[in-house]
Amino acid sequence: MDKGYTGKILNVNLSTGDISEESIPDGVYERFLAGMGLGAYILNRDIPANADPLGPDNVLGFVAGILTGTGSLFTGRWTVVGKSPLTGGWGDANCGGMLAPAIKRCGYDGIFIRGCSDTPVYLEIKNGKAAIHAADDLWGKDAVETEAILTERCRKKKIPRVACIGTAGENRSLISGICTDKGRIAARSGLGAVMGAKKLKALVFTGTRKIMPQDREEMHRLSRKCNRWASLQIPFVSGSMMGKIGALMRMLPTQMAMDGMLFKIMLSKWGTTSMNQMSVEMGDSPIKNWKGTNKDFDANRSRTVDPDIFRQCEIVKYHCYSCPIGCGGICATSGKFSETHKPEYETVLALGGLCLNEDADSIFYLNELLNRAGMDSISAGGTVAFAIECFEKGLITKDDTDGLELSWGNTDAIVALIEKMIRREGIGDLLADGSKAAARKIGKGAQHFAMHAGGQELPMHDGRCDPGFAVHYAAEPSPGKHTVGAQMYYEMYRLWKKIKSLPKPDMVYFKGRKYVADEAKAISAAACSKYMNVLNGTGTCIFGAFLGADRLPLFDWINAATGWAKTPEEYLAIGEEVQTLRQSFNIKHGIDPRQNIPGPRVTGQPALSTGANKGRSVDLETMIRDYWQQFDWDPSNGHPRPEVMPPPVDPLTGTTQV
Amino acid sequence: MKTENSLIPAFIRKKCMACKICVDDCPVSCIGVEASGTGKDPHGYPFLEDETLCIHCGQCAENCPVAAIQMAAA
Repeated sequence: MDKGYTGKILNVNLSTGDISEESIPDGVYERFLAGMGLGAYILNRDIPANADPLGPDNVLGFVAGILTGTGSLFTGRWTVVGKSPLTGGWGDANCGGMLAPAIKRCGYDGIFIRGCSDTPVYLEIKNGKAAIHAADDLWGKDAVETEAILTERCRKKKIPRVACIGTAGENRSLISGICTDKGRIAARSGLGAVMGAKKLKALVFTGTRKIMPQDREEMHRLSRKCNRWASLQIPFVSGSMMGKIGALMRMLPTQMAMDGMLFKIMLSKWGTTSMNQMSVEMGDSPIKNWKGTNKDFDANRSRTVDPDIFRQCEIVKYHCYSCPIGCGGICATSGKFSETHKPEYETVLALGGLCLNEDADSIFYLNELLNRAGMDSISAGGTVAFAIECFEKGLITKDDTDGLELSWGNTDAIVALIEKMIRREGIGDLLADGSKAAARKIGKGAQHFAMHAGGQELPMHDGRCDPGFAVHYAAEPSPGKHTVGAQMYYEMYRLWKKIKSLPKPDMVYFKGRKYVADEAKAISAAACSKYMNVLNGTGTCIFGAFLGADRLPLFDWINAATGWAKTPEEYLAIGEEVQTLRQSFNIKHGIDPRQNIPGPRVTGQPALSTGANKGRSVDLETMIRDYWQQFDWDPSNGHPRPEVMPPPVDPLTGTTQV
Repeated sequence: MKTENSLIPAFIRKKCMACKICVDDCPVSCIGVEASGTGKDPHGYPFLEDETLCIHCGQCAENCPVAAIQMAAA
């Protein structure tokens, strides 16, 4: 029966060379969906509690969503899952490009890699078959070079799609990711190091199988309806005005509930760089390793990251698979690299305002360098900012930095430091595993300057501006990620339009209300997490979700693709079970969820004395307790209570074992 | 195999979302993406990059969610 998913995964053991197919019962998909939910099911089942993340017992999964390839829109995200060497617990990262449907075209919903090879290898997968090949000639090459070679080598008729690591993953940098499509990267959780430890340079997908939804006509009808919203574009202000809008938002005592259509219009025009100056001005972007303010990176200094500058470099807009927006772009650059994917907002501000670097050329260069090396630009920027502050405080000196003058905004030193991190050379070796690991080695109180949650560097959204970010950074099974929830995200998801029991935000409210811990915020935060698990189970992009649940027919698409008849409430219940499954993984692996709570600077304790977030502090302790309570986990420690733990799955039917 | 009556995809720019579903669907990768855009319309649209590769299967047209591809005479 056509139902959107393949019902099979491929298990590959690199220690033994064994390759085997495994049928996954329908009941598993009905309980966890595919994508990250399927990954959570397999990893919970198969990774032993004491597994070394960089050892043979770790399982690295490449999974595609249940909606990918079914005629739905925004469903081109693939996810990589594994035990994170960066946080020690549940790890996931997702990415766009063209890889997601290629996984399913090979006949699988996921590829799960076990064991470790003694020598470098790559895996070629095609239509229900797979082979392990030697990759000695590829080891040491960057991600773009590797992809080009393998695309040429493995092409039959259809162009293969490639996921690979760069040199950062080979060097087992704990802040490395996995790349596709000339430098797009599933960057978070340090899973590039897991692939490097397995000596797996790449996966090549050459499948040609059809992906069949149950009701293609209905899929297309829903997609056409959704596209009417996605294609709506009105003339909008210039890039330089965005900073002024941010400044206005900073000055007003009130704010409006965000409608994602506005964000969609910005994304269509500039991509995520639309937020650059606006975020700095309104206090959304952390500055100077979270101790500075918008005044330290004022409009004059941030003018170099005006969104129009990035747009002017754009040769062509880049669309991920099945995306009608095209927030990406291919930019022409000068210097060592002739072109690069348009730097994302996170990259620009992590390498910009967080380090007070106002040189846009260096950001273009580092963007391409990090993409090719396969190193997470958020963690790289966060770690550099940490190092600069350590240098400022005298915890490290020029003797430690190989002579680099690590001062704020010193572009040459920032570039040189990241080059060293990629090569694990000198001070770069110390920093290549992120700020938490580096702080432990430096000692002398350096941990106070490492801005991370559970070891993962924090993204460029400040919880002192939107406390929802702080909650999700601290309390998620995969900490330190900005792609799950926030108060602003809840407003854009518009879930109350589909699920009447969820609270509807006020149209206009005083900013002070954001900091009050109440039940509505806890319900909203938990709804964000559940919804994101559904999005990640279907392979859907968060930017599609920002259109709003009444404009993105996610639940209807799933029903049309699978033939199910589930309600939105039932899908959110699936999201809740996946959340508990991921948290259970953490508990099984000895993670104390409270250790993921970031340091006091991040929550404004003490509060900043000036700038956009002046006087703002977040009662994170209460908000996290309330959030965990929503899942019926123990609010004092985040442990799922035994009665809410997902019951075992019957391996034959996929149904619940009673 | 190409015959006298073989149809090839014709792309209707006005309807196209540039979403690349057809690029992925094509079993022989004969559909490419424009490498540069224009100021007014900067998207990389799909086009029939190599007609000699086309196997006239119509998958691209069948699977386009917005009916922006029609199979037409070459």
